[in-house]
Formats: sequence, C-alpha cells, structure tokens
Amino acid sequence: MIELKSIHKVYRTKNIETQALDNINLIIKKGEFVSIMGPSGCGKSTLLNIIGLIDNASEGELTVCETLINGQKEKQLANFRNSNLGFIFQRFHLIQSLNVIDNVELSLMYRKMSASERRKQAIQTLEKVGLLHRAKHFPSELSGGQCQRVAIARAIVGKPSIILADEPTGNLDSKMGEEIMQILHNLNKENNTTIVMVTHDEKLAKQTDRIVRFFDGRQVN
Amino acid sequence: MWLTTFKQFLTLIKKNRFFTFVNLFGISFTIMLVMILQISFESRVWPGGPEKTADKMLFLNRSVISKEKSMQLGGISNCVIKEYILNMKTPEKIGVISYSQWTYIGNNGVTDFVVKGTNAEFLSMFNYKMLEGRMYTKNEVSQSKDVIVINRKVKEQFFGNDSAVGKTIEVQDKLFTVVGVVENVPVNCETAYSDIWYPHTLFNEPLQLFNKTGRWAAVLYAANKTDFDKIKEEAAMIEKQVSAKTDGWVYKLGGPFDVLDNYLIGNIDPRMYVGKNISLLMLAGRMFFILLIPALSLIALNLTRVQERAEEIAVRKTFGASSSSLIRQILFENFMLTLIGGVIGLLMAWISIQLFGDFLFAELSSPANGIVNVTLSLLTFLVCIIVSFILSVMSGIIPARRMAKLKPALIMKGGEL
Repeated sequence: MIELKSIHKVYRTKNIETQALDNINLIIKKGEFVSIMGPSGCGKSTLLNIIGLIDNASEGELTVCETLINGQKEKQLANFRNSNLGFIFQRFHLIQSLNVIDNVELSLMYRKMSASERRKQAIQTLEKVGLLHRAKHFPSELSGGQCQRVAIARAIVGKPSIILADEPTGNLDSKMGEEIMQILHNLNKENNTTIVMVTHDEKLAKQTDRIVRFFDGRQVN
Repeated sequence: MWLTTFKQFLTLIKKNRFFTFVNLFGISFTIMLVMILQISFESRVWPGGPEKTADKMLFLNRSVISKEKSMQLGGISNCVIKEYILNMKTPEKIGVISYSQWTYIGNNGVTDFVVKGTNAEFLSMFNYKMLEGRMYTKNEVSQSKDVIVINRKVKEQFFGNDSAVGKTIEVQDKLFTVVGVVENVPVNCETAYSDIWYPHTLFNEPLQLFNKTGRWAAVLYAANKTDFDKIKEEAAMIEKQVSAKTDGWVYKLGGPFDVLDNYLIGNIDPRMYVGKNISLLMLAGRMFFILLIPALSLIALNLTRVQERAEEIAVRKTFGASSSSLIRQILFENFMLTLIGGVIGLLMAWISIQLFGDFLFAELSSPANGIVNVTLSLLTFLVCIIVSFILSVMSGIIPARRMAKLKPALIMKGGEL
C-alpha cells in the first residue's frame, strides 16, 4: 500500500543543512494501523508530509496505492490526494468561515459530483461521527472533541484508502481521545482503511498493529 | 461548489468588516470615476431625446484648408454648403446649420441665446417635441421669412404661460414671428440643441471664398446605414472639386463622421484622426491607467490577507485542491467583492451626475444652462461588469497566485504534521 525506499529529506537554508530523514525504508500494508513515535523534531512530521504528498523527498522512491509518486505533476498529486488520502490534524484545521457540513464536503468539492450527492454523503458521514445535529454550526461553536470528529468526517467522507493522522488526540482530554481512537479503530476494522498515526502516547500506540520509532531522522526499530 | 464558495465569501465579508469596508470603498470610488466617464461618454454619443435617430446621421462640422505651411481649421464655409453639400445626391435629407449667438437685452438684463439658422429638413430630422404651432417650412426658408421656432425656456421668458404662436420677438432690431414652440432640448443633444431656430436664409451673407473656413455645419441623414460609404465617397469628391477651385490649397472636410467618430474626433484637426478602433483603444487605455493605481492598492490590501487565509489554503490543497482551482476560487471571491463595489460605484456615479451634472457637462451647457439627458443603458451596466472584472483580475491575480503557491507542509508545521 505504502512503500518508502531509501527516502532522504534535507532542509537547506543559506548556511545550514538539516537532515530531517535519513535513508528510510518502510512498507505499510493495506489495512494496517501503524503508529509513528519519536521525540519532537525526529522527522515523523516530515515522514507523514511525504507520505501525504504535501512535501517531496530529497532522494528515494515513494509508492502509494501501487502508484509511483516520483515525477508526478502538481495537479496529478492533488487528484491523487483527493481520491486516496484523508488527513486528520492535531489542531483540527477546520475552515472557520465554513459551517460543519461544508467543512465535511471539502474534499468532495474537488471531485466531479453533483451538489446533492455531495450533501448526501456528507450527511451520512456526519451521522457516523454523531454530529449531524451540528451540521449548520460553525467550528467556533464546537468543543475540541466535536471539532476533531468533524475533522474525521472530513477525512473519511471521500472514502480514502489511507488516513494520515497527526496526533489526533493531542489536543483532547483522555475521554475524548478514547472516543476518537475508537472511531479510528472502527474505520480500520470495518472499512479496512490503512491508518498511519503520529503519536507521543505510548498507550495509544500500543493499541495499533505496529509501532515505527524514529530518532534523529532515522528509523530505530 | 460555487454556491459554497459564495456562502463562504458572504461569511468572510461579514467576519472581516474593516477589510471589506476599506476594500469596497476603494473599489466603489474607482468604479464611480470610471462610470462617470462612461455615462458622460454615452450621453454625448447617444444622447437620445431629439437625437434618437442619430445613428442614421453623418456629421460635417469642420473643414481644413492647407497650403504648404499655412492651415485654417474651422467650420464649413457658406459657399461649400450652398454649392456642394446641399446638392449631394445620396443622403435622404440634408440639414444645414449656421451657428450664432444672440444677445437679448430686456428688463431683466442681458440674456444670451444659442441660435441656429437651419433649413426645414434639419428640423424634420430630429424628434423635437412640438408644444404648440409648427416648424417653419421649405417655402418659408426659400422666401427668407422672418419666422422662428423657440424652445419652452424662451417662450416662458417672453410670454410666460400664454401662447407664443403668432407673436413677435424683437432681437437685434429685427422682429420675428414665432411659428412654433418645442420642448427644451437636453444640452447633450449638441446638434439638435438650440434656444431659437430660424431659416438660414434670413441674413443675406455674401458667399465666402472657397479657400476660407466658415461657421456652417451639415447633417446628412441616410435612408439606410449602408449608404454611409457612398455618402463618404461623395464627400471625398466634393473635397477634390473644392480643392480645384482654391488655387493650390488642399481642401478637406472633417468627416462626414457618424455619431461615434464625431465624438471621438473632438476638436482635433480631422486629418489627425486615427479612426474609431485606435481611438476607442486609447480611451480603454486611459481607463486602464485610471484603474491601475487603485488596483495596486487593492493588491497590497489583498496580499495582507494571504497570511490570514494561509491555513485555509493549506487545508484545501491537502484535501485535493489544485493551484488552478484555488486561483479560480480566490478570483471569484475577489470578483464578487468588486462587483458589489461596482454596483455601489455605479449608484454613486448616477447620484453624482444628478447632483453635479451641470458641472460635468459645463462646456455643453454654456452659455445657456439647460437640462442634461442622462440615462443608464444596458451598455453602462455591461461596462460596469467588465470594469469590475478587469479590476478584480488586476487586483486579485497576484495575491491569488501567491496563495496558490503556499506549501501546505510549511503552514501545517505549526501543527507538527
């Protein structure tokens, strides 16, 4: 499903060169729930960005869903992200000027789909995360847990085969965190969705199929 | 998608009231200026009123006579009008005008009147609204009868609310009998406009020499617009024939020009006229420059919002928006805002013209202050939309491209992704 071969990432400024990822080789199988752990600045964000096609590797080969990503154009990458990837962020990143249902519809807006079909799918997804009654509310009117559920609905509405989650429970209390984890586990089991989750929480990581650990840009296990 | 974008646009303008106000103020003020120019342009080229049929007319207002380094530029001489223009074959009607001004000294002081000596055909070309009496006839013109047609303003000044027909007016020691009264003509109907009309034969002017300009003009009314070229050819023949009679002078008529050419040429030497297309292009160029400075300010204002909306743009890109779709979205939002500013600007222009019309059309209404016939046409709205679109693209494209180039990974870094 996801294959990284000899991935390197170097950030260059005028005077400094920082090796963010150093020779990463990783295979994540379809339907796997993988946690990525490591201290801050160890490269896990960079890895997730590269898998999510919103950043490029400096060297190496990346294959996602049997498609070689290297050399693809910006528009192709945008379409690929839209069809195959769903993103969940620690800080939700909901669009404040859109209401809940319009936020959920976001990824469908870049697909050829009628407005009514889009709305239907968004409603179904909001129902799944238990937030249909908040459809017309704006993000500023929701609690942190509710925002994250909206973000999950936005990530899964397009039925992506891979979900990339960046500390999805990082901004939530433990009860809310458990609820979110439960939703992710359900997605993984029921839809066979591949999930790659960055976390600092050992307890949450242990609930997943595999833990990949990073230190100073290197994979350590 | 556009409906959602529109809803988001409404939320954004409500949320960012200060930005919206500043932006709208700049846009509406700019568009107001452009629309004042546009409305004044339209009201001079297509003034309506008595000149409703002006699109079938060709105008001959000037002549240029040159020989080596000498040159005369002025109206047309009476000899060219009487011996050539009035004998043209192609026009259905030929109207001639002799321009002058009468000063009347009455009990209430001195009044200047715009007066035109014309033939009967001239009066029949325009849709004057007859209030009483009739226009003077061909026979009255050929017999040089002392008859005049006056407008309502003159009638009220001399006769108050009484009927004027059959009564006399003494101007410059001469008595004239009023045969008709017409409604006041808007001052922007420049050719049709006058306070008093009299038969052009009234004053026995001696015929001028062919190498002189004069104070006459002509209006050639074509049965069909397809006759315009033939009329122009005929006018070119006249130029050659007159030149042959002037002992080495080159005689050029300014025209015949249709309404648009007649406006675009203004007061310049007709030989310098570059034609409709280039003149319109130059006008558009001037409009572009008027738009350029506010566009630069709006670019600066919009750029300040790039940072503000960076997170949204990053999220959209992450979820599959391509750069081109983001540029389209941002330009659409900018166009909507500019369009609202355009409508406000158009209203402001309309109000300004109602309030300060006399000032805007000062050179037309002098010496007699009069009404201005200004209407908002479909073209005005179309120009408003086009100008709004151009301004929105000019002020939106750079910020839009800047936004579309944002790297989601960098912006999301705050979120430790």
